[in-house]
Amino acid sequence: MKKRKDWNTFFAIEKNLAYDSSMQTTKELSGLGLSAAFAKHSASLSFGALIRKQLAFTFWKIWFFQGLVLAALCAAFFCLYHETLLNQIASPLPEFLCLSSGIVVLSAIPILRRSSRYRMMELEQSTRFSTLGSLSAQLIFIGIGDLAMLSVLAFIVWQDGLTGSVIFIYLIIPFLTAATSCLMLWIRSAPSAFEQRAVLLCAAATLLIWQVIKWYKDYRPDGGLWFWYLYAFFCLGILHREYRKLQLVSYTEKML
Amino acid sequence: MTREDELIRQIQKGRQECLDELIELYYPAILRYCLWHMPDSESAQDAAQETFLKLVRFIGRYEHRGHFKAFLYRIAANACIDIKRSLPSAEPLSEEPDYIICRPESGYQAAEDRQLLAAAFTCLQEDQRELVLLRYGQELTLREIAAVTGLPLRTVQTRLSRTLKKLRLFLKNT
Amino acid sequence: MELTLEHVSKQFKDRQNSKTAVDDVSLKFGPGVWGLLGANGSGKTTLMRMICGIMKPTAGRICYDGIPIDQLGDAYRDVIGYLPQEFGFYPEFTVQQYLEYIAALKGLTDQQTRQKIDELLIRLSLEDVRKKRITKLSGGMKRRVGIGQALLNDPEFLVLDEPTSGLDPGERVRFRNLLSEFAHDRIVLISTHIVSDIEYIATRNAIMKNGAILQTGSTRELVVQMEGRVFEASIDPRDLSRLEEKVQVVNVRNEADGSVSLRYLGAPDDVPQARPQEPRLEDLYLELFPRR
Repeated sequence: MKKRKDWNTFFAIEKNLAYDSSMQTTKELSGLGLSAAFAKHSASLSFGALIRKQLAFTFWKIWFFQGLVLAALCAAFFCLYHETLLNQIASPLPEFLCLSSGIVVLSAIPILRRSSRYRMMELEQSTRFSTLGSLSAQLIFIGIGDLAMLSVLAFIVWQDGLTGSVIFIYLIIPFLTAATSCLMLWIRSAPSAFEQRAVLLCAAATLLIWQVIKWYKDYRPDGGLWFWYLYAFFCLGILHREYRKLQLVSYTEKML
Repeated sequence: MTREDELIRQIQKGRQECLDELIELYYPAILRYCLWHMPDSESAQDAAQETFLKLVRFIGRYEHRGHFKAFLYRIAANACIDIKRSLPSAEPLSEEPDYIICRPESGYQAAEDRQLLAAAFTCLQEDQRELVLLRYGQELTLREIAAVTGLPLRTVQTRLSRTLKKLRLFLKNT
Repeated sequence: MELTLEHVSKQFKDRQNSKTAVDDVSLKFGPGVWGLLGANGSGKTTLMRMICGIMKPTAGRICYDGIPIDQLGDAYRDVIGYLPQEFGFYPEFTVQQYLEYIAALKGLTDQQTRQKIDELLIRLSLEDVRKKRITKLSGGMKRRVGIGQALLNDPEFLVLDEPTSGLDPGERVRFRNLLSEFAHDRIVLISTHIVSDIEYIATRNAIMKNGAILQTGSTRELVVQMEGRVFEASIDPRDLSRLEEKVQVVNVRNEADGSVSLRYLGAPDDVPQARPQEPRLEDLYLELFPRR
């Protein structure tokens, strides 16, 4: 007996095995079970509802804190640059934008650390929405806040004469660089070491990208915006990949 | 998307007619599987029923990644163990099983085959029996068997090959 | 309703070395109260984290009703309630807000949340403090709040890691009664190094050491091996330090007449006029985890 067909035949059970009535009973009982299970499941909270609830519980603090940081940045801008902008538009403003983007990223760090600082992380991880759910909700809120902060900063400098492409290169690119680096660090770093490392990494990433921008500007004084678009897509791709990794338990357990 | 994927999606939305279709699709195979593991057809039917009842408990939030068959067989294996435990004394493939194992030929041949199979199984360990049953009785692929048993694919291949050698030797000597 | 651990192991690796926190553990939990006993660092917390799906085993798998829990995903989290050994609270939360927050993470609707919180606050005698900030509560009350959040989703499987640490004796008794009531038709797994907490309520126990399971069984089955090894004797207090070097001391009690009552593990000849005693789980625990 060598062929699979032979073995299949050897193990075959009578095809006319009577099962209609037992199958019918199974269908009826399973149907009742499904109704009960579905009633329980459909009555439970959706992800959108979780976000709304989280807003009421803790997430308003995220925007409040980001608002304070934004106010400080705007104050710094108006004190340092506004009156002399037309004369000094080329030189110190790009550094200010780079620095601001780094600070925008850093403003998220105390928020992200909150659940491990207050020893809530382990408990949150064991719930239905688990780390990914509450983390996704947090990242969405932080992202909205960051977008608002960047928009306000961009609007202020744009109002005073900077072009869109300059704002993109000096504000958005450093922001994406710092954000990507920090998210990668957060996934791989123990919570206790994260804050310090994140500040250093953010500063280093911002400085590095600022140097790269300067170098590229010298190399291609006439433009080459396409390079920065590609770079931005690359950063967004990495951000997406790192975010997906958060679904893996092997990454979230590092945060305990 | 296969028909099975679509059915699972609809069942997760509470569509009972899709559940009925899924049961029609899998009930015969699951019942066959339970018949191999239970001492009589009545307890096999109970085990098959329990399998689908457990399925609906978890299917609401089951993460379908294309391994539904393996998922279902794992539930069936567990249901058989649970029900067997509650029976007074259970012996799978006992001397005179209630169900029929046969080739679609004569009754006398069927009885002979039944005895031969029962005898052949005595030379195998439980995990070896399970492998051949899943492969040739239930016609699962090797990957599906690996998912059901939790063994690596290579291990399934090696063990199955050794088990068949043992069976061939036994049948040759009979 | 059954949770099975099949050859589960967990290794932690860093740059310098690797540590085996859980070593080839195979267990089967059915309805009832299960005690997981072991000293600090024996791997209990790591095992519990894997059971709750917070950590992934390096080897082996964990199945609920025969289905690997990583396949069940969120469906598994819906049936468990977990109280970690170390848990905290966001400082701004009152008891009610905290339970509402956790209820949201567990996917409970507003109506379910309200109903469940009202019920639990009464059962856990926390009604009077529902609007109070958790940081202002006593240790025992905080622990009760922690147990409350674990029960919010009416879990089939309750996992409690060192739930009684910080509780006074009255709280401990109340906790035991609560658990016994809850454990009917459910699986309750309690890990502890305080033997007396589970001695009276656990149906079955597993003893863990260095990441491996040493023994499993009911309290009776486990302590029977200590028969003939537990003794008590009245001694002169001046002999105490000498005898402590000689035998494994379980308990020392000062008597009214100035003598000392010594409960120890060993042979009857180790201490003069020693009387055999009925062994308890604590005696077995000290035999397996001797104090040095």
